[in-house]
Amino acid sequence: MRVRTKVRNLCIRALTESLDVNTMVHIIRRMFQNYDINERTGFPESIPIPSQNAARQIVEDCVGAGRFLEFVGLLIEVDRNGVMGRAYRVRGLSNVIEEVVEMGYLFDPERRVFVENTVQQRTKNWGLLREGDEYLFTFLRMDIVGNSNLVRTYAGDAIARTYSDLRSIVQRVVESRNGRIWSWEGDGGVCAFHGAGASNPAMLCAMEILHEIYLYNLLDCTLMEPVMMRLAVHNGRCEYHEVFEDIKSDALRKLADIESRFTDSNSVTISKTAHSTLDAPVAAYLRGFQPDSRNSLYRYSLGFSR
Amino acid sequence: MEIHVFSSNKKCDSWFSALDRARKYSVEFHPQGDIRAWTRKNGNGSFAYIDIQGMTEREVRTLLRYLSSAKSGSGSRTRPLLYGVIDPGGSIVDTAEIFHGGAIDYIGKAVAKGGIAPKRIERVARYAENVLELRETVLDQRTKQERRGRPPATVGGIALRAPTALLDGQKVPPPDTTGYRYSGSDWSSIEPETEYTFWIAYVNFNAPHEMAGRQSSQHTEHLVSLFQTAMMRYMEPAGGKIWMWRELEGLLLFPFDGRRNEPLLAIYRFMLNQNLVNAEELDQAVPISFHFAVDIGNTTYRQSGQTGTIISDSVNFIFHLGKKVVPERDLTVTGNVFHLLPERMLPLARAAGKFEGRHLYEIAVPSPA
Repeated sequence: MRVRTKVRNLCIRALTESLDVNTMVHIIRRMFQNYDINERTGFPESIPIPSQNAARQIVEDCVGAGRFLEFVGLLIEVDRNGVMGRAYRVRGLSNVIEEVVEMGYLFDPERRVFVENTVQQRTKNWGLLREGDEYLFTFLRMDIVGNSNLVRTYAGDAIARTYSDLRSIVQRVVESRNGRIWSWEGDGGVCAFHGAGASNPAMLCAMEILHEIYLYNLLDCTLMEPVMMRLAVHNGRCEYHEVFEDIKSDALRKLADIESRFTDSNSVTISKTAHSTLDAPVAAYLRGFQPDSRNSLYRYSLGFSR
Repeated sequence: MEIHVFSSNKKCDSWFSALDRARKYSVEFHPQGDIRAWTRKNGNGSFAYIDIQGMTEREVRTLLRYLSSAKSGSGSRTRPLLYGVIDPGGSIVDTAEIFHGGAIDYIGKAVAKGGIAPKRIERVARYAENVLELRETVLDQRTKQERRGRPPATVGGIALRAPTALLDGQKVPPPDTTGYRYSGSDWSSIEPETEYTFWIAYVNFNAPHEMAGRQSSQHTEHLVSLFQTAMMRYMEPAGGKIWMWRELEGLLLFPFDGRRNEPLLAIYRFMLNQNLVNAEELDQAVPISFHFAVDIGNTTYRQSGQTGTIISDSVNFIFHLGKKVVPERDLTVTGNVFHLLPERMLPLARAAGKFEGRHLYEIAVPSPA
């Protein structure tokens, strides 16, 4: 990620004018546990390090490690909650935030991180995740039921149009809740939602996709039969890689298993671990079931009451 | 009549030259590979001739399969594509097979050499009309049979719990439109103090029994405000406005131009997404349900907030209907609305009797199973 000189300088000034060197070191060690300011700046321990040198070194190290946004998030945290019970006001922080917003990011106060401003840009890693690092994700996987049969029955153009419509539905719904499509292979794909509270948006997306497919079948589908999907939700830690095929993850394997083995047509299945993190108003619509002695799952589907 | 010929063979022009000379026909030539793109945008009543010379057997099979399912026209006016096959190389062994797939003409080597005469096209056109008429009669009879005896087991991919006999749209009395004063497809030409025909929807926000007496009026007001915001995200794109609101109920107004049914679809989508609205926007562990009554009727238009003295039969009727008749979680429409239901939604409609002299229909909305 490219960080402009202007915003770096604003950040250095904010640090210099607000915190002493010891506090700066204390803060930066929340990100880099063994951070040694003397080693980084080259100043021997016997000589006090000028604030500006320490601030510049810290900012450059954060930029170099691709964690500048995380550091600004940390400064916001310090400004709001202080450090070890003592209040600190980080002067000029609003100028730094303005510049970061101009770079195309917004601060998410709930998760306390900067996320992409999706009006300006939308990348697979939310402009935040680093290649090879491990994060907690909630995944949503979907598959069009009876794909081979549909392809055999209908003209290629009709199928291509229908599948493209379905992908548009998925994309609109998923991106409206800050999820990302990580993989799409014509008849289905995998979407990712990042962070600890991500099971809720993932499950809500799955529910809405099911609703939208019902409406699509009623109003727009040009095939002679309704199209149906199987959707599954599961969460777990996994390494982030830009290329989806490079991601090796037990969570994704289990997700595929839940989708293909335990999910009925036109329904969503969610794993127990993902279900346990759902808010009560979302979980209220799911029904538990036990397909075998090792799996305990929950299901969402639509039906007519009459 | 427009005839579109898809061929990469230079001789093809001469085969159709007689038609070009006859003023009745306009012949347009396209590259062979453009047929798929063309079928997507062509109108009703055009003929397409496709030259299969130079194609492999597999390509021919794929093309014929495509043509047999291709449509011409757009929206509800689509009909099967009218096409003929040009086969100067005689590569099709069983020519009858292409007619079984829906073709209306076959031009073999001998016919091509002699050129295509206008009389042949007249014959082909008559044949096509007969085939289409026959097909429509068969489909119509099949549809009627299904409606009478075998209603569909699923709608939109969701199984109907107890399929009821489908309503015969022909027997539902058509709306009396003599008094209609169409308000247009948007609000641009609607003037205050003038009477128009609108989509009028009554909505009731059903506070759960658990909430009654427990919540402060401030909390209820906040909840209503959240509900209205959520509802308008659905209604505004369809031209909807909150026109009147009192405590937990209100009236929505949408312009009506005699054709558009977006307001009904917006209400249906909102009803379908009740659980999402509850979970995501109202944050209610005890779900709040809502019900709608929808009619098309006349009223004098005034800005929201200045409606206290409006006297309108339609407004009175919809309030009475919504308050007294429509059960919680239901969507009920009048006969004026029934005729604007998309065809695939008809199996969802069930006659719900009469109220104040008007026929009512309940529209089933699926909910979490």
